[in-house]
Amino acid sequence: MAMTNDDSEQFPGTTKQQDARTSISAIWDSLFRLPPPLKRIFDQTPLVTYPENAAPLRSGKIERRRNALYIFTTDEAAYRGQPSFNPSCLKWQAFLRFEGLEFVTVPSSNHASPSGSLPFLLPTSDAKKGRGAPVVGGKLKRWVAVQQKEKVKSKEVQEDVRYEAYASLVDHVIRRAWLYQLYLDSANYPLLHRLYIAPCSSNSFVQLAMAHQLHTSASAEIIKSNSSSSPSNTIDEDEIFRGAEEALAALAELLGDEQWFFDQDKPGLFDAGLYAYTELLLDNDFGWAENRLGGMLRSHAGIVKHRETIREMYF
Amino acid sequence: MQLYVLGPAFDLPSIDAGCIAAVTLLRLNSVGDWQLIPTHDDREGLPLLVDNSKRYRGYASIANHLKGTRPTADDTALASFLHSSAQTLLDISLYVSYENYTATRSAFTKILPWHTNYLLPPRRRAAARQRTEHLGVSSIDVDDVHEDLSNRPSGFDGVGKEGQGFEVEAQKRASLLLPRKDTLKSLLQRPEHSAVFKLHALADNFFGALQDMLGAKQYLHGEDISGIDCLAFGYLSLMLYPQLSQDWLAKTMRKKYSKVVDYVERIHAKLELRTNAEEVMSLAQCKIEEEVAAQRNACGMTLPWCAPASSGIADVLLNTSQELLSHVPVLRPTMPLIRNSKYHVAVWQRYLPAILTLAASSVGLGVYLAVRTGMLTWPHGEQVHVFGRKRFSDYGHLGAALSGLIVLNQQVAGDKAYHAQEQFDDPVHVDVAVVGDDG
Repeated sequence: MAMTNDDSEQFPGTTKQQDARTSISAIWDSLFRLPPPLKRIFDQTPLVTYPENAAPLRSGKIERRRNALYIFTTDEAAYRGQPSFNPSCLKWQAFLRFEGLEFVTVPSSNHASPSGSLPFLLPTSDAKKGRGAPVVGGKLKRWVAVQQKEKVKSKEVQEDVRYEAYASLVDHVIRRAWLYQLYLDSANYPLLHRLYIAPCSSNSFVQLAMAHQLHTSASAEIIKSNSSSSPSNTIDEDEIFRGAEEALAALAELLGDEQWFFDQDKPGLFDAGLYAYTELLLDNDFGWAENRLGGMLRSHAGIVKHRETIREMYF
Repeated sequence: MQLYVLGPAFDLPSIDAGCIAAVTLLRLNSVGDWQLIPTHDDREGLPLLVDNSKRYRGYASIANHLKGTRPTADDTALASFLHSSAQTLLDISLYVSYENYTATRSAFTKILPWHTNYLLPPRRRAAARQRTEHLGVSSIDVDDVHEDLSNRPSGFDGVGKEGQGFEVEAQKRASLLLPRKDTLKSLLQRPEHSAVFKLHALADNFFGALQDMLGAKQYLHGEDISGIDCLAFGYLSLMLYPQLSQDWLAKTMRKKYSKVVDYVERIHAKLELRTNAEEVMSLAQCKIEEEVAAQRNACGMTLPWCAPASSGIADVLLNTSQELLSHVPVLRPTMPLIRNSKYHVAVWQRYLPAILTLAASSVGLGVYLAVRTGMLTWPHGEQVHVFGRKRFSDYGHLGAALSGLIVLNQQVAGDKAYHAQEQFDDPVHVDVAVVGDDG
């Protein structure tokens, strides 16, 4: 009797259900199957792999006569050596000016930097020392110190014990408010567009994507600096600006009637750090539509004067 | 006056620095009658002070409310310094380092109800990792114990590895040929070692600055304890007291910065902040106020602890679903909630990517199915024969593919017609009987 079962498989007509099932599965298969002609093309990819392009001949051959600081700026402003429109770039630009180092500014974008963020500096190259490696962001301070040692034995500046604490006010509290005001406040979107989006691409889809990217990364930065038990994924505007107001009051109190912070006889990195924000916030031609931080700043005459002094002396 | 905090841990009033600071501040000011309530609901933000039905969220606004005076410039600067530097150290020490996180987690287990246990600690860990991402120390354990395996004699760590004599020999010889010796520089550049250096530099930066500011004084403002000391205690106590397996932070503190350690212990002793987590959580069994007070006295608690806040089932479900939603890649809100803003981010804006993706995919799927099932026919017009022109398939593989697509469409139609025809046909039944020969 076993043979009858075996034989029945040879006659498809006898098993109707099974046939219906196979036809359904055939349709499903055909839905997700790559058509053979297309498959033949994909079988042959990659068709040709081109070798890497060689670097342009001009790169690396020419000696750099002057130090080049790559920052966010416009062509015109770079030509005139005007302040950058990005606070972290302007901080180092101002600091290099304070130290009296020769440099030119070059407009650039984050993609050009070895660390992924501006500023960075390409030192002069000469036959004796060869090409200097790019100096990125925070390492600029040490580089400047080395440069200064070569020129004159500069006296070691005594750091105030409160330096770190006050530096955190500028680097965290004021930066937070800056990020909120420029990137998240939709009133300032035209400004953001002019500074960071329009120079990168004229395609409106790319611009839309970039605006979204800037918005999310700014809000991520702000959320990161929230205190650890504040509600997740929430930005409290009032808290940000209340913090900024207190910070500015504290900084104004620290400065008092002095010319520079921490009673120095010449401006230092701290002055550069604060100037980077005050310059842009107090600039009437900068194009702020909503400038709450700038409004707060104007009530502290000492800081306003601090900015004017730097502007007159170094820019 | 009620103060809501995250529950106690590590013999301290709370597991969160801001909450400890708030408890310390209230204890210091000893404002008449206040209650300390452990909670796990941080939707509003903790610590939360409820005073005459007014709510003060976060340490800064609580301190502002209690004192009512403007903080001095140094206080503001120091608070911001603690908030940025000390928070980073705490994040790495309690959350980022995996071995320490197991200790932190078990401390959380004691104070959280079971469902929050799956939500709150991982969320805090994720936030801590995000905050310390730029340092490049994420998930690297300081003086990693697993690292030591490489220096042990061969065959030490493997039971079934003895029989590989030849391979071991070959490897030894190969390593002689290749210049893979560890130099001092390459050792320093290895990620786990550079992480250690980074961490110690961070710790030195923080403790050094703090010790300088402390100077020879008893407290940050001289002889008297003040508000800023409370905040400093919040962070420093969480660095000093927890018993962790990777205790580099506490070790550094004890070894190099004994002044800071003395300072923390001074505040701890003065304000009597020692808390036992089990005792506090056992208050939940008490039904009435008197019983809570009796229990408190029996355990010798110095802080006015109350029964932990409990949440209803609706709250639990809402919280859990919100938390789960925030982990689904497309559905999670991309934009953060902006509070107290003059303009409003609409709900549809926060979920924009989710909506766009959903719309695009449903349209695409709809069109595809419509074409497939024949509800929609692809416009093809009448067939035209042009003589002398090449066919698609003569243009190499790409041409074949294009023509294949056209053919495929026709084929599907043909297939369908064939299947339809087949269904209408009556199958032929054939009876076959085979008589087996048993002999």
